[in-house]
Amino acid sequence: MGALKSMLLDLKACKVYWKNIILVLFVLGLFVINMSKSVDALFLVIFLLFLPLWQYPFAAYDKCSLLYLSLPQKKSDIVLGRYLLAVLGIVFAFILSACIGLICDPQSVKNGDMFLIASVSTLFIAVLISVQAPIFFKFGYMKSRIFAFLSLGIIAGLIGFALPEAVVGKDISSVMEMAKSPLIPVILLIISAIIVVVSYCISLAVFEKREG
Amino acid sequence: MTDILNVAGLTKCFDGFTLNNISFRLQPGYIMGLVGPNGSGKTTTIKLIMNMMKKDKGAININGYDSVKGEVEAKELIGYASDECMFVDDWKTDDVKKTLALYYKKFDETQFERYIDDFDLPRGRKIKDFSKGMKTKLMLAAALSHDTKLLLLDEPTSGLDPVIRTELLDILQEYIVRGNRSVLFSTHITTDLEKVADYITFINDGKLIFSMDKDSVLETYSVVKGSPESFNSVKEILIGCRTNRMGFEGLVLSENAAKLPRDVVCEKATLDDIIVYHRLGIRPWAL
Repeated sequence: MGALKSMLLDLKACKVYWKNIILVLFVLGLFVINMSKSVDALFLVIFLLFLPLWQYPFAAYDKCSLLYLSLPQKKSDIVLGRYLLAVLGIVFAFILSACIGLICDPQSVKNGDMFLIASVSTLFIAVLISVQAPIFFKFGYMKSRIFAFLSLGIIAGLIGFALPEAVVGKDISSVMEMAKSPLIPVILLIISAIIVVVSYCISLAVFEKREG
Repeated sequence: MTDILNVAGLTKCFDGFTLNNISFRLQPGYIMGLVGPNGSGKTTTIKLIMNMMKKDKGAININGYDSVKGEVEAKELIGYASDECMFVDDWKTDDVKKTLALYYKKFDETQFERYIDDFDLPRGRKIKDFSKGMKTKLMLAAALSHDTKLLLLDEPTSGLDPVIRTELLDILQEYIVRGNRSVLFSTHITTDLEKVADYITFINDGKLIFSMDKDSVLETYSVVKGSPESFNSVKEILIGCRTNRMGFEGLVLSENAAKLPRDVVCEKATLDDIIVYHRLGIRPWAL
């Protein structure tokens, strides 16, 4: 219950960023219109658009940390609330992907492409959350932002170097062919969940020790 | 009678500063002023009471609840206002109300609205456009609207004009009238303490100098003035002093006044004197 309240406070504290969120949704709408024939890429875009949204509660907390700490709640509620918000964002992105997939290209849902892209995107966001959140709870927003984008750069770099040019250079459908197994999305989601849980435990430990 | 606030042996170490073994208690129906120079540990003490920082040693009890183990229950009973506005800049008073209603079981929306009206706070304006006085009043409205037992205010009067300061002090006095609630507020403005405080807790350089009722404080200390020639005969009993070519002025315990030579003048000390001379101490050049 305390974590839910904290999540709601996160959303309220982000009020200043709501304009940005509306802008993001508007951009998303444009993508839906223009990319309805390339649904696979659209799924990735949906998840990528959630990346900036994840930053807002951190930025907001930095400005009103006294409020969070003065309210009758435990520090663990603040941490859990933040992770719940992140998971909610991923679930929302997942559902949005599925809905757009069903409307624009039902075939992509049937053959599992949508689930693969969504699970890869989930892993991507899970890594970002898992790196950024503990650093935020230990050092604050500015440092966590730097590390979050650094981690994204490292992941992007690894993908660029690790995958053969044949895969990266061509369209995304060739990647799909490599990962047709229905187990792949499930494994990716499980890995994502494990990463987030480990990150939550670290965040909780560091935030309990943090002063102010 | 259960203390509203009981602080025992509170210790917190930082690099270069230690809040050392602070103990005091506050009973229902009283206002306590927490005083001390900048950097003496007032805000740290308040943040430790609020469990915003981890204490190294000691215990804090708020109306029967431990500040750590019973954090949520204790915070329900505390109305806290810091020296800077805690709320999100882009919020309006309605956002504050909804947030507090979400968290406090006994939050009284009607009472909050009444305070907003009484304090003439504009409902349609964002908090970032509020003046310093308005922000303080908003924090007070928030602190007073959820059936608290203890008001914990960190320099609430700093930066406020005398009219608003007087209003605020009136509110504090009204708050304790029922007899089951108390106020602890830190301040630099000793005239505020002289007006409303029943007890004074004085912290200097992380150490508790005293925590006692205001009248006793003023009786305990005296200011002495004398010529340079008489300085040597009183320097042993001085707590702190200022010297110049004309002579010296310093603080002594009133019980030592009998030891003073005839040419040394003894006067009643003010709270300002007590704080200033404790801070100054005896400078080596004075000796």
